[in-house]
Amino acid sequence: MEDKKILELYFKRDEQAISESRLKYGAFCHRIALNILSVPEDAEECVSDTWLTAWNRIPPVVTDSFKAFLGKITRDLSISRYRANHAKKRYSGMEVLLSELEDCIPSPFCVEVKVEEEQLSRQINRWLDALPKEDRVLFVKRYWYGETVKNLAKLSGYSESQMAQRMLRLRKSLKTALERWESQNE
Amino acid sequence: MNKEELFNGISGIRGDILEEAEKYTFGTKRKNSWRKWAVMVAILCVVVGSVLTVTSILNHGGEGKQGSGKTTIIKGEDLVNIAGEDSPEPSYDTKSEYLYSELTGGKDQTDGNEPNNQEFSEQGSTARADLAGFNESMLSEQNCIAIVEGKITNRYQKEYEYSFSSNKFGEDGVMHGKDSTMVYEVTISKIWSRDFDKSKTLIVEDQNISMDEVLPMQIGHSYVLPLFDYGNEIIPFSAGNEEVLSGNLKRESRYSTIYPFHPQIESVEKGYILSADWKSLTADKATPVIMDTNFGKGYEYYKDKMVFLSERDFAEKMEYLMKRYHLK
Repeated sequence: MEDKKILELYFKRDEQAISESRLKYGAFCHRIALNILSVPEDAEECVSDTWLTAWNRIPPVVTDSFKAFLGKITRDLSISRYRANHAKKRYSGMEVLLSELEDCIPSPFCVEVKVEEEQLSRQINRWLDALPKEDRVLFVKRYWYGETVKNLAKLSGYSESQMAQRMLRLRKSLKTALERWESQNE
Repeated sequence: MNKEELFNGISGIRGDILEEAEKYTFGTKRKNSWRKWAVMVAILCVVVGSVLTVTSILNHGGEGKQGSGKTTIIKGEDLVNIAGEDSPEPSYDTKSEYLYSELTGGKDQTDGNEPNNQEFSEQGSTARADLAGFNESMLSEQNCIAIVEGKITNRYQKEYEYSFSSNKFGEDGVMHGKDSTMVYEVTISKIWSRDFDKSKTLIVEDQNISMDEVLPMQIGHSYVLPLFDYGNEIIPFSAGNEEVLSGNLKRESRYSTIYPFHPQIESVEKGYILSADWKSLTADKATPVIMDTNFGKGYEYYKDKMVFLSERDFAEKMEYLMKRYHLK
């Protein structure tokens, strides 16, 4: 069913909206959750919660990209679950993502600088806009969708180590961009 | 800022970027299919070179004592077969032919200012067929982003030096690598395929491979160039899979020709001169071109494989080619 039709069902408060969403985007959302949590049962629970959250938000929320909207909900729920539980369990997907992202943090003397999340997102979007398309896609797939380096290498036809090196370069590039931005704000 | 904050910042990536990533399809094969052959042949050259050297030393040392042993010489043609590539089979009428000088108004195929690519190729084979030969499917395999026609107004060679980690000679070792590219400034006169900014001078940068060289385009000549988006940095071939530690890998341009190791399609007054490995373009109507002028060493292999197409025939064949590889 087309997204437009599914959204109409949400607006009509027709519960078929949830089953159609699950049918069309269940696998997509499950992949995002699993990439972050790496525990199938927890991922499944996040996906179930995704439909409920979408049900509660639409209306009034109207979205241009229903798929991205659902993906964001799943990702947020997965991150919340990670934060709530990571003292008890180890979610390897998220742990690896976070440790990689340490490479992007501007030099130590800037660590204490608190940044507005929205401003930071804006800078990241600006940096992404300037990247070649494939690099942009790779970064987003890795750090937003949480795809593994191994899977990205397989998708793009590169070896795993080449992909890891490409990711490293992207992280360094982001670090440079963030450092420049921070120095402008000082 | 800490990693958690950064992760939160990444959560705010715009919906259109997320959607682009979700919809994006990578090519089914490695982006630069000739590169895997480059690596394989590099290894092969080292192995063959070592075997020949050892055999040569043994034979040389043994000549005075026991007579000669037999040595098998591996030629470039054999490497083509190893690579599994068919040699081009031009299907043109061999009765009529053109002289290159007739078509270009006496211009040499070289501009008398040949770059010294040879220094990059001497360590490997001198065969022209070291790499996988060109075939048209590379247009889709390498995600051709546009085909443009333009005149070369400037050309220069650029070198990239860098260091990379290597445990070859001990833990935490560092080695140095060097790669080079040929950079062209092109004034675009025509866009054959896809949208492209025609207003500016286009910079095209082709990367040399250690055992083979880019066949340089000539200043003052015009060419039809299938391009792909190489990215902002060169691939440091010398480093292989090792991490590059220092050095500037930033390219002059993101654009590269799809296959820089064969003569590019040259635009001349009455039509186009191209190599017969453009099979869709050269089937049926192409006329052989005798390369009667000074041409670079790298072109030797293509000496009897160049053909001519009239402007109309070329345009017709290009239509077919672009449809076939979804470049429209």
